[in-house]
Amino acid sequence: MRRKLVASAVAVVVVVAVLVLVLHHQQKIQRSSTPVHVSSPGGTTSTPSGGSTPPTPATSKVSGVFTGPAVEMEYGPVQVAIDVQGGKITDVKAMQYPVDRPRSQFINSQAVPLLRSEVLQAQSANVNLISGATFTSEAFARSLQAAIEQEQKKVATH
Amino acid sequence: MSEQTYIQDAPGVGAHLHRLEHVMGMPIGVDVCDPDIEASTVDRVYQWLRFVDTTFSTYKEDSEISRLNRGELTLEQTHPAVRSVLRRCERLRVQTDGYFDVRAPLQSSVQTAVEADLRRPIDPSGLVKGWSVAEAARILERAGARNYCVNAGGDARLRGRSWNGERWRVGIQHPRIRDRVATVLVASDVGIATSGAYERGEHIINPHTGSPAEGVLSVTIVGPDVATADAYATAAYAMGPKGAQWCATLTDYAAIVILAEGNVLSTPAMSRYRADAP
Repeated sequence: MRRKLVASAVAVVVVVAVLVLVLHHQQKIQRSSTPVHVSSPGGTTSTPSGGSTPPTPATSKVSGVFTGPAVEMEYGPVQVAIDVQGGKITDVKAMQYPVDRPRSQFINSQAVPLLRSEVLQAQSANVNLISGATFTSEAFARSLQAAIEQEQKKVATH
Repeated sequence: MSEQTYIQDAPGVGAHLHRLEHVMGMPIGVDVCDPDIEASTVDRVYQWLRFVDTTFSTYKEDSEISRLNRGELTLEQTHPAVRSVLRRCERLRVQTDGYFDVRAPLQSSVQTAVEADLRRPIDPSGLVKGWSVAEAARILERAGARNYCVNAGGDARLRGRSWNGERWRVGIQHPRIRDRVATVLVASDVGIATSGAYERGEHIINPHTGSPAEGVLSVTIVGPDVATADAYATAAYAMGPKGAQWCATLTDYAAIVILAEGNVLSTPAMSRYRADAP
């Protein structure tokens, strides 16, 4: 019962999608080996030994805000924008998400801030994939991907 | 929610095929970093995954598992893959002292032990996700892929090098702080699976008590086969804190168990996968 509710209504899915997409983005733009941040569940973050190499300067640095299209979901439209500074995503904003229905409001009040932080974290962790589960809205992933693709096009034309 | 296909041409270094589709209720990603693999090979991977979904989904009324549970199919009438998976589930149940159980009770509240045993529905999802990833990887291997990753919602089979020419780096989701990874593993030929209470908002039931497992936040298993890793992660999670000791008895499989109080237990075999290992 609860499983069905969660699975069908929320359209919140386990998504390595966003993470993978963002990481591709990072690989393309930055091509750097940033230090790995290993965090313990206590919340402290440490940089492992040998990880003090500064990030290699990006060959192509793009800055600007890139907005994805509004992606229609069963519970309403979702639109995402990324803020890129020097080839690195510095912020992810949900420009538009459904708040008209109580359930949507509940979902998005929890999901959107969480997704934003996941995207930013995925960049800093410098990983190819995540094992475990992260909650992400499919619509968020789709709009985010489109925003990143726009930004990549701009890189390509530089 | 319609299925969407995204194909991107090779971000990163060298030829790289990336696709992400929504199948089995989750996004499943395929990355192939070998230069000569055709997109049609990746098509076959998703055909396979859709077959698995159609056949094994407990959410689909007309899947063979649903029909089996309603008594509309006998075991003999099911697809050979169903019988093969269920046989394997039974072996895993024995091997895990009953903690991996396709007939785990959904809830304990009103059932007596006898009623609970009468007609529990079968739910092989704890193996099917990892198994479908393992088989998907075989499709890629048969086509010649040696540098790839198949990732179904965090259960992954990876081999060789990633698109940046280095071994695959796998972030292990922090079970409490969602914007953190608990640790980073580096590997080039493994299956990896994580079970946790936060996963899709579901609970893993301890089959021996019928109650949600407690005391553990997440279990990550790394080893040669992602299907086995998936089942072991589910079983070890259901065991609660003693699951860590059980993991230490496994040969060929390494484990990270994050306990509810925050302690992180790793089996010795895990050290070679740690990104910060010397």
